[in-house]
Amino acid sequence: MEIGVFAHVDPASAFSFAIALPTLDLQRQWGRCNLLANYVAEYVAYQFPQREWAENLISTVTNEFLEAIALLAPAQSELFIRCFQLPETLELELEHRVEAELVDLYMAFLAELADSLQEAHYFALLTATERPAVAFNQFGLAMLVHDFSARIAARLDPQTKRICVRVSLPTREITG
Amino acid sequence: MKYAGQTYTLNYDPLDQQINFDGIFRLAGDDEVANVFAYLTTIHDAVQGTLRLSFRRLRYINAEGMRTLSLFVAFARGRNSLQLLKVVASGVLAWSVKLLPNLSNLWERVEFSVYDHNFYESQQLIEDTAFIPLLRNQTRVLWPHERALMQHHGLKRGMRVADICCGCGDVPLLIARELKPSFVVGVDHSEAAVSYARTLQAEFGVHNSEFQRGDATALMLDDHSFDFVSCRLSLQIFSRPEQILRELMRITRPGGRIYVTGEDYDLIVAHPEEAAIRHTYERTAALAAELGIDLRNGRKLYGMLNDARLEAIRVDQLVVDTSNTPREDFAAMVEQWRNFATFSVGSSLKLNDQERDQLLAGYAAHLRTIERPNGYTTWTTMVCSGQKPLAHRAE
Ligand SMILES: C[S@@+](CC[C@H](N)C(=O)[O-])C[C@H]1O[C@@H](n2cnc3c(N)ncnc32)[C@H](O)[C@@H]1O
Repeated sequence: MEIGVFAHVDPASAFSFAIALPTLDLQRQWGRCNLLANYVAEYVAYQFPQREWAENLISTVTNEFLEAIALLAPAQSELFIRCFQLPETLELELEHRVEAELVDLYMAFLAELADSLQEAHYFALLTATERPAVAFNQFGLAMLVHDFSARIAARLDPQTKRICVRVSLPTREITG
Repeated sequence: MKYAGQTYTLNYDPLDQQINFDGIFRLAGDDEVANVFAYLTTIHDAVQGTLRLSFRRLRYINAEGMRTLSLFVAFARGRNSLQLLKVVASGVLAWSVKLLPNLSNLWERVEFSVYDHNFYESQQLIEDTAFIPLLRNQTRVLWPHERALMQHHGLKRGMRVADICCGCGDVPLLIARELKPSFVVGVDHSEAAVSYARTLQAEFGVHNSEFQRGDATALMLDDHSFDFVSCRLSLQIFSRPEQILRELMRITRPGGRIYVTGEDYDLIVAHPEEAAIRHTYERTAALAAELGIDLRNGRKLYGMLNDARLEAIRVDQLVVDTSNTPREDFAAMVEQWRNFATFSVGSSLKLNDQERDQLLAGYAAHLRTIERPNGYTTWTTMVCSGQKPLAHRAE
């Protein structure tokens, strides 16, 4: 099952970065989402002349996804984070398993993000007095689309419940 | 009144009716959201008129942090007692520019602004790539003398050094190469200057230094973390230099030294063609003043450091002249000054042709004086440093 468009990446020519870790790390110590987002951002932004701006943006985007994954992934699973730089976009890829009972909800939400997020829905999430009943950082992910011009694509293997989410950030956003 | 989370602090400053957000505001659970909300609403109820929320030193936020702010806006709207809720972002923090404007959609009394957008009059001219050659030429002339002065003012081998408003980075790199500090950081607000500095760093092969784009009035550097903090030839462009001095103080360790320099155009002396040259620099200083640049601020530095309660203040005059500096280097610098005054400042102030020609003629006279084997001229920079008291406590 696939949502949105996966930009083609030629790993030989693009700048790339990859890291793998147990999702349990993020779940046990939630503060690690912040550490990891900052690390990824610092590493990836290093090549941009507008380094501070790029780092701030990449960390913010990565952190929201990591916080979502900490809530979505089963404890005994692995998370792969990859990042590629294409001429027009920076592609952040997150691959992990999703708790079986969250799969449909998560896919439906990603489909909305990939398709068209309604302004009203965004503001409803921003101003919600409580988190959604089934929470997986919906507002954080909505923020990326609404405020950072991120495009979302996702590919799910229904058997294994492995999902690969692609976040494309336009280069012009990264360079300020 | 202060609220401290694990990675952030919220600090209320009653003088400005401002809550300063500092650190990383990535909130975790409902309890944390509730605590922060309680803090914000308590402050709210003690304030009348305008309340400011300053995010200039908040490195990051997350969705829960944003949601907490939105709950606070809803609270303020419900209470309906504030006249204005000012939300202040920083142009160097992408998140703040992207996310905070959403708060203005929640209540018409929320006013969003980016603090460092046009925050001093001459910003566009100074942050332009065209300004870099001027800085480079000044450094070429100053460094052979300033190198020893910096040591005399307390810069020693092994120190951690910060150069704030570092321009194109040549001085921090020269410090790193020649004075052997353990680490040097250079901070500047100009994207062009920082990018130039990083290229220069790669060319020089210097490893123990780093450049940051940042705002000198809200530095992303830790308290008490440097032994020697400099701010060279920069205080003159700010309307409130004491704001910068406060930040220099904050990042300096107790006992460390703060080193500032400033020009003084009244101390440019020349012979022959004295009158024409004097007139030109007076005119330039007057034009610069219209853009908020004080080219006679050298004489004020002592007072500024004294007001900031620095101790063991030391002042020196760094006089470069045609006897201690190669004439061609002096001339190259004056040519850059001429271009900046007549073309950059001149266009910005819409000088007419006659005014422009007069300025050009004055600079031409100065250049002739420099080129004459018998001509003599000076350029004086005041160098001033002081020690942060050992007992100094951060507010
Ligand atoms: C006259 S230049 C001096 C540069 C350098 N110290 C030198 O002597 O070569 C002033 C510098 O201050 C920088 N600047 C202005 N406002 C700033 C701010 N708020 N924070 C950091 N740098 C700032 C400008 O971009 C510029 O590079």
